[in-house]
Amino acid sequence: MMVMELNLIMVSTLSMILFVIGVYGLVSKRNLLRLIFSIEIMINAATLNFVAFAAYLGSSMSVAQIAGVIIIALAAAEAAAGLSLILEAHRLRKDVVVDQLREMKG
Amino acid sequence: MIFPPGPLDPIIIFLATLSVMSAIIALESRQIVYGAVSLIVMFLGISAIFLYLGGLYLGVVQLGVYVGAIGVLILFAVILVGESRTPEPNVNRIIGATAAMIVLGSLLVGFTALQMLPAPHHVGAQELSRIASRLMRDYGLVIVALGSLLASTAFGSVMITRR
Repeated sequence: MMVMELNLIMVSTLSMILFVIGVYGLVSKRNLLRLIFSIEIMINAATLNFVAFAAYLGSSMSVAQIAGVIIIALAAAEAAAGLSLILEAHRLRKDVVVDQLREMKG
Repeated sequence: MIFPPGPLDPIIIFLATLSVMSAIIALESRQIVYGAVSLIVMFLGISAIFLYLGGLYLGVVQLGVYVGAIGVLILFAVILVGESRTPEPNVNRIIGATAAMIVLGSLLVGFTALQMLPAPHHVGAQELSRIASRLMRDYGLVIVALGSLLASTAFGSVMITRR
């Protein structure tokens, strides 16, 4: 194994661990805010992969950064919409537990 | 320097440990305010990794948008909403851990594909002007779509919380 690959493996492992932590939070937590936390962790893990592989391959760093910026903008939109829905849910239910919002399924 | 040589970079190890610990604390802290602060620390760690890997532009954007905007937005929401009164059932943790293990297993299978990567070749630091020109030339439509999405999200959020 090349010495250079060790850092790529390190960053990829970090990305994988963060993604798995996000999945754990998404499945196990019922608090809407913690679900938003989990989604943000998973988005960061995905963005990290773009930069890690671009830095390793060397040729497409600008494209990776542009992809990262697009992901961050989408995450900002998701956080804004999600948090406003959480505030509204809190106003209606006085709590932010996802089980109480099941009736939205119709 | 992009991926500097060395068995395992101590800076990367430190930043990775910081990010992972912060992510765990963000989800498992007893008080959610500490969780939000810990999430911001994780954003900082990821931003530092971006900067260290040579992604200067993305690192600064991460610092400005995630730490500066999204982090503070989450903190405000946490302060407004407060602690949930419903405790998390323990059985959910077991289900979550099982799901996480399944995802980890499938990711590890994909991880073996790293050996098929071509050999690394290094380029110098990318100039910001090159990123800017590519952003406007090749991704102009995407930027306009993103701007429209952000504007409509802001409008929708205001409409939802206005009442």
